Amino acid sequence: MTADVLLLQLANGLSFGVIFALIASGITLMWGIMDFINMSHGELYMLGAYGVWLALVVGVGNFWLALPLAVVGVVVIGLGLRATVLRPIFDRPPLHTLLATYGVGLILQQGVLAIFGPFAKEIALPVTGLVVLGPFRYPAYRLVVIAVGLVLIAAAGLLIQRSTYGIWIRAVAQDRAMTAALGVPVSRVYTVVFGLGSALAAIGGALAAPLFGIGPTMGSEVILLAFIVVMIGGLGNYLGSVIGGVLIGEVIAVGAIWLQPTQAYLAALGVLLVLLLLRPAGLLRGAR
Amino acid sequence: MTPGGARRARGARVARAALAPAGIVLLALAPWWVSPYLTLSLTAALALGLFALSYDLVLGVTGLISVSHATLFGVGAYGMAIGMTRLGISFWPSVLLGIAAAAALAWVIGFFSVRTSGPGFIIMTVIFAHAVESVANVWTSLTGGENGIVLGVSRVSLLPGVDVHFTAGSRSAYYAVAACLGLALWASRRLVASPFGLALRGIKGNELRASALGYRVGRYKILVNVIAGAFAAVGGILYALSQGFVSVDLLRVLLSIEVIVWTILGGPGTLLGPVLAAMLMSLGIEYLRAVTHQYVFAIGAITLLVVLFLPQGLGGLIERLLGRSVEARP
Amino acid sequence: MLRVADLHVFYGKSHVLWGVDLEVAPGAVVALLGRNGVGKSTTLKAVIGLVPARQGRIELETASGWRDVTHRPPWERAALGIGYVPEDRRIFPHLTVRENLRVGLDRLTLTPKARRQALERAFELFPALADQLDRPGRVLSGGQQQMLAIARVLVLGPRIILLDEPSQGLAPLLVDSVMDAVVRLGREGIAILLVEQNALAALEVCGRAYLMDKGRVCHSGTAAALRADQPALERTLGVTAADIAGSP
Repeated sequence: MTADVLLLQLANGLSFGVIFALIASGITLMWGIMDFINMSHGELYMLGAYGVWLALVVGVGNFWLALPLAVVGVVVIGLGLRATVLRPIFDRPPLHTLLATYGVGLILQQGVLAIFGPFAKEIALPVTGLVVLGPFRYPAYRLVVIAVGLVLIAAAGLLIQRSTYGIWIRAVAQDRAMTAALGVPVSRVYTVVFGLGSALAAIGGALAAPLFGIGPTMGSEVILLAFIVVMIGGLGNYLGSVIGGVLIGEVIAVGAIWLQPTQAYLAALGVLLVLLLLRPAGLLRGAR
Repeated sequence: MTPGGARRARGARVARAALAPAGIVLLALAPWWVSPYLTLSLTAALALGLFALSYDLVLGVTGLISVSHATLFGVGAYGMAIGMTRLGISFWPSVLLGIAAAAALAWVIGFFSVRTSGPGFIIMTVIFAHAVESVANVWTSLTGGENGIVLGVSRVSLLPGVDVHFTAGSRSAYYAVAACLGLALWASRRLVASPFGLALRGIKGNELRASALGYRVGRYKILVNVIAGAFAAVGGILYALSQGFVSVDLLRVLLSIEVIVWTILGGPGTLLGPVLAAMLMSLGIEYLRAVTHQYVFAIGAITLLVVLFLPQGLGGLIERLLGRSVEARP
Repeated sequence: MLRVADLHVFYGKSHVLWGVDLEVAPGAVVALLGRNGVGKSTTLKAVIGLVPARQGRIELETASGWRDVTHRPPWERAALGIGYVPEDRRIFPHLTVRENLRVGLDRLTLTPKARRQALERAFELFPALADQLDRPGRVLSGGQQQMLAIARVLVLGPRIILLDEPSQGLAPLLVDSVMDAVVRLGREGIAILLVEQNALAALEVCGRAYLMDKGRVCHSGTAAALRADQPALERTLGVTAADIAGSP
């Protein structure tokens, strides 16, 4: 193993990390603000990937045009689910949302399987070629993924810190009743959070599609690591899920030098368990 | 209680009183009047009933939402299978190995899961369950993957002269599993009534108060997970024996979710309710599997429908129906 | 301004309010008094909508007439002009003072000038807050949190403010300043429904008062009349003649 390989994997880890962060931040937002465990979050990621593929297949020429289309589609589906199937369970205990969203996820997965078949679809890299960075050459698309991902994550974070809805989101997370008593329409805040979380997951899926391929089970494959990231970052902690995402991304990528993929997942789990032993409250404390 | 309510309560009691002995007689004589295939299905259903019973201790009695219970069910079965086929251990020590492996895993899962604050418990169990399922899927040399490991067990000697045959349609297998289930039900009832059970129920009712009263809540949660894990392992072992093989289907997250649905349907905390719900549902799912490839889709749909329309379980549904029919009388 | 009629509230199976009736006239300061646990806070929570009314009516006078808000969600009631300052202040701990104020303020579509004016009004009443704008809520003292809790509501331009035990946990000097603020708010024309265990302090600032016992209103009248009605005060509040004589 040379320094070159290590550096390559560190860079790859960043590209994984950005995608994990996108998925995990959606989960953590929905959980922290709405007390909503979304077991179908992986399927939103998967639908984002399929959305891009579908858009390209029907003739949308440009990947970068297909991506926002796919994201909009997934947000529409997500909000539609929330308005129909998930509405009756709005105020129910977490057990019910756990089961209901798991059921929804299963239906989505099986639906996609039935419609598009079990075989992986492929998308051509939208940006080909290598970028020369000093003595190294790195795939251009991966750099784009890292850049786009970081920009979006920062934008979402800024939104949460500064914007009105961001303040409302944080207020609801801290004291839902009081926020309502101050005149804030809490159900609208929930809709925004749900939409935002779905969009982030879909973007993750769309960005991942050219790298990892597209299949009906890609959601359940990534959800394990996404949940690990959520737990490492602390439930409800946006910044934590970003840092945790990058951390786990690096663990997976660097781990891949020596380990099989599944073993790398176990390494990620191991990181979580060690952190739990040392700092049960999660990586960052209290920062909301 | 209102007059309508008293009528309803009496109606429910009569229904239950009539159903219970009839049901028991039917079940007890089942192998003699149903087909060998159905006997096998019932045997498997009984084992799943034991699985659901063990989960009720966790969810219904203690109020813990764990999504890793099938992991313990499957690990128990695999422990025994690996012991017998890969490690060359004989039957009974392999059974002990399976139970011990599940109990140990239950301890690990419990230990780490209670270290997170309340709602994190659920996600931790999800993480563990997914991790074990991933490993089992990939490590096919150990687990046999989708095809699983065939057990070569056709006959087990309980006592000199008393043999249990694990073949299709075997009556002895049916009664053996039923006996285990009965024993487990009795043990669970005793457990729930004991001081330990009281503490568990206190944790379900008001965890903060239990903690303020001095109970080491985390330890109780871990302990109940271990005990329930051991029971689940027994269920897994019996299930595998009745089927003749283990496969990774036994430890999937999907099965963990299914047992949660069964527990809700049967009535959390009633012990017997989840058992009956599990038996009914597993027979139904088995029928579905035979009929369509889309049974996973069906399970997803059923899960969603139960949450949407039957959150009070089948008992709640029956009470609603009974209530309405009683009210309709002049 | 506010009319509550035959209000019944349950906490689970527990019947907590047994037909509460009360009225607050526009610009009036009305006190709701009673011992611990009689349902005063619950009444306020029902008016703002944080607990549901099982039976009864809650009506609010708006610019376009009386509106029945009995089953409206809390945010609608706040938008119609009810401000709520809860018992434990419930400042958002991880938001700064500025952000605490923004939570309600951002909902209103105000011109920058109107916004500034709203904030000025709050700072005029509570000058200490102006220096604390970027500090997170959780580091504020009890008195400062109380000020912020009131300011948060004040910037919304409410018609009526529900104040739940504003003097609780505060040193006597701070209690005085809070009560002064209540008086000033009343003079600005904002109706106030004040829940207080400190009956004597409340009777100093209010015009009318209701006495509650066991989930019901058992006595009502002007503040002067009640101050003089020793038997009623003693019965429902345990306040003796000596207490009244000794009050400032």
